[in-house]
Amino acid sequence: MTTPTELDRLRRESPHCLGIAWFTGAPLRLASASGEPVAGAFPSWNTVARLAFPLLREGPVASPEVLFRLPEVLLLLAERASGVVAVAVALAPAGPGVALVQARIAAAQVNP
Amino acid sequence: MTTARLGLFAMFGRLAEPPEPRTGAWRIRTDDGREGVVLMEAGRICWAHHELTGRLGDEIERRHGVSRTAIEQVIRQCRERREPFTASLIDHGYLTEPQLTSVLRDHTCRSILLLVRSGIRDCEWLPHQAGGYAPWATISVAQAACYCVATVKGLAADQLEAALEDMLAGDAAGILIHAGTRLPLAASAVPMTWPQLRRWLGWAVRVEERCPLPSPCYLAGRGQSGGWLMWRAGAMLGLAVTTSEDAQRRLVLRVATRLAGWTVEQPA
Repeated sequence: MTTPTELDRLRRESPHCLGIAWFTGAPLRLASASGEPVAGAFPSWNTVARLAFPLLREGPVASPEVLFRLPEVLLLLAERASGVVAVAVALAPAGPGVALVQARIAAAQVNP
Repeated sequence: MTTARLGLFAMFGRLAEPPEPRTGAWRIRTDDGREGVVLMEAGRICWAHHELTGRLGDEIERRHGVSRTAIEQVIRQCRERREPFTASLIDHGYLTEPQLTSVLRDHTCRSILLLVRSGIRDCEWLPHQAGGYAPWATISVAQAACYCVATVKGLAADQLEAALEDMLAGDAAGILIHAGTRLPLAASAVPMTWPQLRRWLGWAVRVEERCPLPSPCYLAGRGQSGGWLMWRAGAMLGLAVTTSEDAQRRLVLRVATRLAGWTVEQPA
């Protein structure tokens, strides 16, 4: 599930989901997306692409999943065998715990 | 070993690599023909002195009102009984552990800064037997480096460390970084090596360069054992690294609940 149509459907079906993106290649580039990434701090999905590998692979501990908690949005980055999926979920009204679960459920359906 | 003039970070890079078992003293000669010393035990800094630094006893008298007579009496007694001076000050009830830690750390770091400002020419390692410093009275090279940077910047190094520990609570090693200058201003009580400090600092700065983080926010990554967490509050970046799942879980929960109300002195 990585085409824009499939991501559109997944986003509509995922509660409070603001955007889903699929990145591939090295350097990582946006392959397909639905919706918008987090406003303000991230002007484009391309910014998320630039940040993804340093966060997932180059940090103090290599992490297949990175949680980015912004004031109003939770962004989940998850590494897959053939790329990286990013899911942005609004923190209101669900709260961070539920938003994280929703983000993980949505991410799990993209190239699991 | 003779070296070219060393800056602050280069000097700490040298201090961080004493030969095993890493107990002894660095004898340091400066451009002005003076000498200083940095005592180390098991790779941790115990004490430093430079000829131009005031005496530790004078600083203890100034800050905590312990008379010179009392201090000299403790020194004499320690020499006779071959006991450590600093721990004896606590045993005699003149200072508490936190008071001693603070005054010792301040004196040590001011001495190191004086050495660097004087222009370091030679660093010679003199191994010796352990001096019996209590571990809590010593500081890691990373802590000393950050303390020196904060002092140079006119910040209250003790308070920055306290703010960092408020987030880490002993669960993680970590650093506090000023995003604007990219300088580390505090290091955790949980030790980290000098290469770790440099690597983690470089990584946090790279992330911030690629996307300046909004405030307040945090990022967390979980690996097979432990993970990392980076947060931003005002101009400050915090970075914490854990080595167990439980510690990582506690860290994320603590930062998530405290970040909005977390306060730390912000550099001008």
